[in-house]
Amino acid sequence: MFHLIKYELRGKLLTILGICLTVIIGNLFLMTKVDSWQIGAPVLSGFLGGGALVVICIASLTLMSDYLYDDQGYLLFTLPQSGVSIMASRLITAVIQISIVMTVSVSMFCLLDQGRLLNAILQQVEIHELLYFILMHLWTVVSTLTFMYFCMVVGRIALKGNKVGKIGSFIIFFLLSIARTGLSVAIANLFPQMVQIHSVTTMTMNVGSMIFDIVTFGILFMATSYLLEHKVDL
Amino acid sequence: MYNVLEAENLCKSYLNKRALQGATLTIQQGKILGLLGPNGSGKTTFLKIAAGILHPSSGKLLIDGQKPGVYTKSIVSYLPDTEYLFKWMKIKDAVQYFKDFYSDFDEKKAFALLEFMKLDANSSVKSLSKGMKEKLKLTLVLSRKAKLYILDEPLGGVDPTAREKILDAIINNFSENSSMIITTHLVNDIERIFDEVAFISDGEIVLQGNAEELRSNKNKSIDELYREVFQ
Repeated sequence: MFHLIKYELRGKLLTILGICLTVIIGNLFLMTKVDSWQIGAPVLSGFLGGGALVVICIASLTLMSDYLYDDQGYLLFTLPQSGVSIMASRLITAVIQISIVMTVSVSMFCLLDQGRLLNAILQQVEIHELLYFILMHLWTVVSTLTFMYFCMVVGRIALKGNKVGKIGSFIIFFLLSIARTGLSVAIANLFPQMVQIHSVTTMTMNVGSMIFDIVTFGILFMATSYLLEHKVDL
Repeated sequence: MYNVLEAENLCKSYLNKRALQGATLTIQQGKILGLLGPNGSGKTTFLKIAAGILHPSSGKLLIDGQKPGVYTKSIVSYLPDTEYLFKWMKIKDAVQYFKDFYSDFDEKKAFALLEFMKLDANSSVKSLSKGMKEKLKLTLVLSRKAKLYILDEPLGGVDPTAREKILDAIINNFSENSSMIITTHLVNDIERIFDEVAFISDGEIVLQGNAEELRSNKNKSIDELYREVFQ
């Protein structure tokens, strides 16, 4: 599995470097305008970071679609690797590349902002709460990508044609998202127990929804792994 | 001698097409089998099922007694008819890739074969011509000590000199403990290395036998027999 991650990261190296360089150069330019633009510069830096995140998330999705629709699939699916290994390596690679881009974006923002926002956050939030937010970020990335990968794989299996499969995956994603959100809301209404996350603010989390999300992730991860190993036809 | 590959009544259907219709085939250890047939006869479908990247609609295919899966992929060395190597790779990266994933990969043999094929390990994969890519793919596939080699059109799109080089590489690197299945349209060029041949038409094996026996019984070369069967 670690070899899979190694080659995935190597394959996306230019994309990651390109995004990071764009963020760094963009922020360096904004630093020259801080005095004249004032609040505009940090806002634009935030947009730049957000844009970089969107691009790297799309690149993370292509990690799977390249193998499902391109000839590279022959390289991956003839390896003696289980579906679980393939799926886990895809997710770990995506988390690593998103984390790299996020770290660069946040660091450049902090340099531009001279740490003002970071200091303000650190005064309000304790370290363990910050760690919790980072873990939640990772969880969101992993669970969202798992859901998207599942839709892509189902689309590929159900609708074998190239364009049809991709459009079909999007439709499946749209329909399943509605169903998943509806179920999550219904569960939250049935089991209204909440957990307070933040000691100062009133940030809370519904226990039922949280368990539903974890179970859904487990089912989707195993289902996608099974489909990759036993059902995908090239 | 045991059967490395056993296929029985293998069927594969797509939405509006039946690519395989009850194909039955066996390959013994130590034998090279030529799977011959016209375009669309089901050759590649059969090979893809054996390689574990396509799943049969019905029927049975066993490799070393196992259904295609993680284990069979570790003992099958498959040469697809596609350009499947990453474009960012240099030849040495491709060698390292195979070394990382296949425990039976022989790096020394790979570099010896690269030299034999006159390929520079520092060349980029995307800079290679079609013939050179074919030689590289063959180098990678033959550098494994696999139980079964599956070569889909190994001579496709390469010039006659390169064909000879590729055939020499296949013959020199084939071990008696292994088996090989080759598909090709260039029957005349390659028939000398076949121990067995199977003719496939419309997804069915219409004739299978020992290459030498077929030649003497029919008093024809395999190429002539191919033309007769598929005329």
